[in-house]
Amino acid sequence: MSIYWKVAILLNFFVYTSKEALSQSTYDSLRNNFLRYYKSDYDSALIIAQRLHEHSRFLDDKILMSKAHNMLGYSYKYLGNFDSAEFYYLKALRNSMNSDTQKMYVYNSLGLLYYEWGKYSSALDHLYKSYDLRLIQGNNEELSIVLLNIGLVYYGVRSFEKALNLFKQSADLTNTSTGKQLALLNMSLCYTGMHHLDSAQSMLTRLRNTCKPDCSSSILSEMYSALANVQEERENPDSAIYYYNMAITSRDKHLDIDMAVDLTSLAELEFQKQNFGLALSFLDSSQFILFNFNNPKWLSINYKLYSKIYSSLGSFEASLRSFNKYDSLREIFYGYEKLNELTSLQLQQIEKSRTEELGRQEDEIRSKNLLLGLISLFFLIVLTVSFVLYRSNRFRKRANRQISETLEELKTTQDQLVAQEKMAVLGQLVSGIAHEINTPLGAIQGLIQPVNDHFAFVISQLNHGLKGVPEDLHSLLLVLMKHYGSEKSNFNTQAKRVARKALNESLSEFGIQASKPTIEYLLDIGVVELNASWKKTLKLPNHEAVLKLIHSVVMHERGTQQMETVVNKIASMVSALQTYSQPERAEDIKEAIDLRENIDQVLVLLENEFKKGVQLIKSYPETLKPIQCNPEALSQVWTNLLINAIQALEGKGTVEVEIEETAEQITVSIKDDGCGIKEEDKDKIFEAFYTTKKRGYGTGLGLNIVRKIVMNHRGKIKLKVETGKTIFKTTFSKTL
Amino acid sequence: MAENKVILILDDEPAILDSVKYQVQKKFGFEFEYELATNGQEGLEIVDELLKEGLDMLVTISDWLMPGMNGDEFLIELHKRIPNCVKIMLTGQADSKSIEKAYKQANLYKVIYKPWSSDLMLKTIEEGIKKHYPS
Repeated sequence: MSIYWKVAILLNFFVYTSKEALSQSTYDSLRNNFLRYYKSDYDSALIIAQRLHEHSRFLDDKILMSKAHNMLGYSYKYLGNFDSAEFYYLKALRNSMNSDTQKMYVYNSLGLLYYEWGKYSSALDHLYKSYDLRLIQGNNEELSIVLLNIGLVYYGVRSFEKALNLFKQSADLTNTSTGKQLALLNMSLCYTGMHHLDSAQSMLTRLRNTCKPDCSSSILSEMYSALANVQEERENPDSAIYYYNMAITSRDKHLDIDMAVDLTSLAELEFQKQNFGLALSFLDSSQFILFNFNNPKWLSINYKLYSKIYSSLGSFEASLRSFNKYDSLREIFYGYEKLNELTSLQLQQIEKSRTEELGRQEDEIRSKNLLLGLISLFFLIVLTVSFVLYRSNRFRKRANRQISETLEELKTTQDQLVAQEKMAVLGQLVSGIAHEINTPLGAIQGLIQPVNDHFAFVISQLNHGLKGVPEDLHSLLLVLMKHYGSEKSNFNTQAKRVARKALNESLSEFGIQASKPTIEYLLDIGVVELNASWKKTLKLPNHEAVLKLIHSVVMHERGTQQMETVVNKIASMVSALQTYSQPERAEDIKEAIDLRENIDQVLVLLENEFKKGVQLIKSYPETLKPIQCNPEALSQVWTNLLINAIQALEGKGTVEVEIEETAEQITVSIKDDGCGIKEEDKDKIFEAFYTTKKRGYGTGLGLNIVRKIVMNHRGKIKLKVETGKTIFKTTFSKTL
Repeated sequence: MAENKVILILDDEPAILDSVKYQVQKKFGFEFEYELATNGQEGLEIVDELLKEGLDMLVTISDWLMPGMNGDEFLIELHKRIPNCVKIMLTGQADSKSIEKAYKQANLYKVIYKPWSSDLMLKTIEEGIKKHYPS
């Protein structure tokens, strides 16, 4: 169940911007346009925000710029692009200069962003900063809003009592009906979380009464959702279904995560009532929405439900498929759960450091009451402080231990994820590797026989092979054998065909009648020109037998050479595989590595990919300073980037690997001229679980892990597009 | 006049070309001419050359994964020129779709996987000749 808070941010725009008298009418009309779209059409809102941004830069007004940045951040947040939202909010913060009012809004925006992102401790930190600024201004409405948002964070980590308290304070401070309604709604949700269903119900009844005359559709839908939740807890499935339907109707076809959650709840209830068809159709709608938001938590919950429904319907195969998807997402999600646990512990710490400020804030509220209240509060604080002093030492120790244990667990989960991604990539490589190993194996097997045959023939000829050859020619023949045997087989089938014609011509030119086998022997040996030695040899009456002997010696030699070459190929392939699949060493263990060698090792694994119409261009410097790094981790980086580049080419094009060295750093660029990356994907490609590949072809983790590894090496990775080329630029400092 | 019979071998690994040639030459001796190519394009050039000179029988042994043109594409092109010749694929690995395509569109005779047995390959060639060139 999510809490409704959007109105809180809406107030920011209205209250503040209306105070300012803007002389520029363009700015005003743009802002009004933004306010018209920002709740319903995020794409249009973003475009207007961008124009506002341009306009504010034109006016060169820092505060206007800050506001525009704030709107940009807001739009990006709603489009699900948290990285960009954070970027613009931080810009807004920098531009807010000396305006505390603007600063407190931006802090609030940042806090809400981090809350949605699940970064609860950052959320709390920024919201408290906003709170402090509002405290100085002394505007109760503003204080009420930020207290509501702080409550949300506590609700997010399931500290319901704490959250409830904050919502109560928020309700006390506000005089607007929306503010009161929001507080009531959120309080009821806290009560539901604490299983105080009667209190939750009574809050909602109060809310319903205030809603009768005047209520926004979003509060209404959240209220129905909350009512349904209470009924569900009370095990009244029919009433719960009724309220969920009401909630969905009042959502006004707004497809957000809240809507998806309602649909999932409905599916679950219909499933319990054994209305499987209905349950499936609700679930399909929910899943459709969630795919857009890429929300692993709810996707995994849905897959689990799919699995249950299919198994009830007797489609066990479909059930197993869904369960596997659930299982894979669950592991990822498990990491998030751990993170939440950790954050909750961190919050406890922050909370302690804020005890003083909270005390101050409580003073503020109670000063409106009687002096008696103050005195009792004083005693309370004295008691609390002495209690805290007594317990704090033990508590801190325990909390620290818990934090380190949770961190350890989190790290294990992350390692498992990295290993999983590695194996997925390896799967793609294996078929190509099979060819690369089977080919040299076949060659060796095929070469053993001729090598043996040639050797046996030479042995058999030891006695009479050179019979009929004049003594003075013996040493000449030995020289020929030695020369052609040690010559590296410079293989070129085309050249060989040309050589056959040339040889035939020169044979007839010198008037030598050569048999067909003789010509074959000469060609095999690699004779292109008939020099004096060959002419002498060919004039011998038994030249065919003599040639066959030379041929066998040479071919024996060449066969063993070829075996050596292909055995080395297998060896390098196996060693590259070992490097790749080795479990990662602890990241802090690094060694000095030449990046050229590191990349070449990966290229060995990908060798067969470069045969299928994909060209590889390497431009390496002649010397390169080794840098301190973890070779296995880096080879994972190159493998992922190169596979992406190859896949983008769809069978035809060029991949370039370029290494550049400057005084301080080394840059590795991997370029391809393939299908490119869509503008809208550019900001997201490094995010976890984001993939543009067909389902089953990517885990959506590859580039995320790449970035993680590069950052562990204190490097940078950037995506650039230049004249039709997609470039991933990785930079490492030489003083790593 | 002697018949012009050719065995054409394609592989991008020279050691494979040498050993296949040795095996078939040991078996068939000078009954055949032996032509070697390291890629599909070169293979087709040889075939065109052979067709000009006049060709009575052709057996092709081709790898699948080669730079430029893959084995299945080469065999399909070859099939357009000489539909009746014996086509054998000798490969370390090929995806099943390509093989299916070669069977359908190039009338592929057999696939042999690397590392291979010389006896099996020679037997396959003999049977292929019997089937494609009955006399």
